[in-house]
Amino acid sequence: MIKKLNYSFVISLAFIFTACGSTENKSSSATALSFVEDNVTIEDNITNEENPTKLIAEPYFYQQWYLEKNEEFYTKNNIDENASIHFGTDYKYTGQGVTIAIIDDGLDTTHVELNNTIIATYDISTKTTNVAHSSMSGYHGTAVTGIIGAKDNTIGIKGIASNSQIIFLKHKEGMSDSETIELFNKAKELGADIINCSWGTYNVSESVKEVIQDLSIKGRDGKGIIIVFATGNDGQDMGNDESSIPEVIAVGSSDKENLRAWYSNYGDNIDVLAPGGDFDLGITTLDDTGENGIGTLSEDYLLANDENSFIGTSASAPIVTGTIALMLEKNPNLTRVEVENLLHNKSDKIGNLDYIDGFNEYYGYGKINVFKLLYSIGI
Amino acid sequence: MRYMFLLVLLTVHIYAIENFNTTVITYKINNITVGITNKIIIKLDNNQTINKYLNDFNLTKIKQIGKNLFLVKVSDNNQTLKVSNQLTQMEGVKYAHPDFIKKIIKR
Repeated sequence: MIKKLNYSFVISLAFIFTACGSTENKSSSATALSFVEDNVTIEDNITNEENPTKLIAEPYFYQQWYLEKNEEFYTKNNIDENASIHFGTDYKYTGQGVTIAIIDDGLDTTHVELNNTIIATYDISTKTTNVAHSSMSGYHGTAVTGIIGAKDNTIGIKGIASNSQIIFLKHKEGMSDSETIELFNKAKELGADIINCSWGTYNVSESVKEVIQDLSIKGRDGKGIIIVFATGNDGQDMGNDESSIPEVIAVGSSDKENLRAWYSNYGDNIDVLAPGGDFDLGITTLDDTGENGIGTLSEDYLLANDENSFIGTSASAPIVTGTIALMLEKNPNLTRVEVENLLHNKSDKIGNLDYIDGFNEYYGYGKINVFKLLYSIGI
Repeated sequence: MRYMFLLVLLTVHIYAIENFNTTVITYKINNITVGITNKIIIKLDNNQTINKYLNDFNLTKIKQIGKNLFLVKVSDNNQTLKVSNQLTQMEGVKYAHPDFIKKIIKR
């Protein structure tokens, strides 16, 4: 998350969120099953009665603006009509059969939205399975995990890959290179298909870089583990950051105006953008439960208009990670290179800058589009 | 990448960091602070074994952390930089660098 031109943070809004929680207002004008591309309406190319399409029925889905447009919420918050990743208002793919490792600062494993989702945990500091946040105000890892894995339970929010299996690996605040390597190796040992990293050091060592490259190339039985990094929130070149490793999927942030967010780091190795929010509109996700965490409008959620909302490339990275899980569910044989090529070729070229060969250093290959990605993947 | 640049660092602080059970020397490079203990990561070429380097540099092997990748320690952590730079120059060593401690920046 962002902290006034610095790293992570919590944002203060000038107003109190007053949106009605009524589910009657949560329909969206978009649908996942049809999409107009090149003036031709195309239909989802998969018919699978064992995996039917279901309507999203989560009470807070209407304010998950990063997933899909809700007419009323978009109008009220002046959101560009194309600011979402075009997730749709119904879903067929849930990341079933895909294992995602999340390396982050701690997790509330008791959150009802994560029931039966977490299959393994490990704390690098204590060498135990207890990955609870070290302080009562911890929230970051829970917020990241919620975007990916919140259950379809009609209780709160829609996790992008709600049936994926999640491995949670708790990092230290000050961590040695050998410990970083241990966490990546642990993710591999536990069977991760994708690894989400909503953090960085701006100073990756050769050994860590080499291990990440090795997993990206040789992991997943040679198909390559897909490792996703947030580019950072300092509005600067990514430099010698983990996200700059060419084999990594480097994710920057877009905002509600469907432009690159002002804080989003950039560079030659940025791959794609996904919504990351801004001071006036965050990314609705989970918070540590009860008195823990930082939410002020809900005990268990960080809502879009909370004065302590979740903002930054930390939020954008798990949006892409969850989307990749849907891609791997649809075709588990996709290699890391194929996933990267799909992300590059099927993202929307937003913004006012020119893309040269589909790329520019601020927007990468554009903002991801879930419908285009899933449509483009055959069985 | 060679790590000789570490010899021209601007500021040095010494203090103990919880959980590392050893003295940590911190260096600030371009406003990024890194910590160094008595541990070194060394990557060998395919045809090399670690024992030769353990003997030649009076190192203790802690564990293997990857293919041809080892975590070792020096007896005096004031020597960590010097030894890792010397190791880097050795034939049969792909690279060596201190087991840097870095701030993990949440985003």
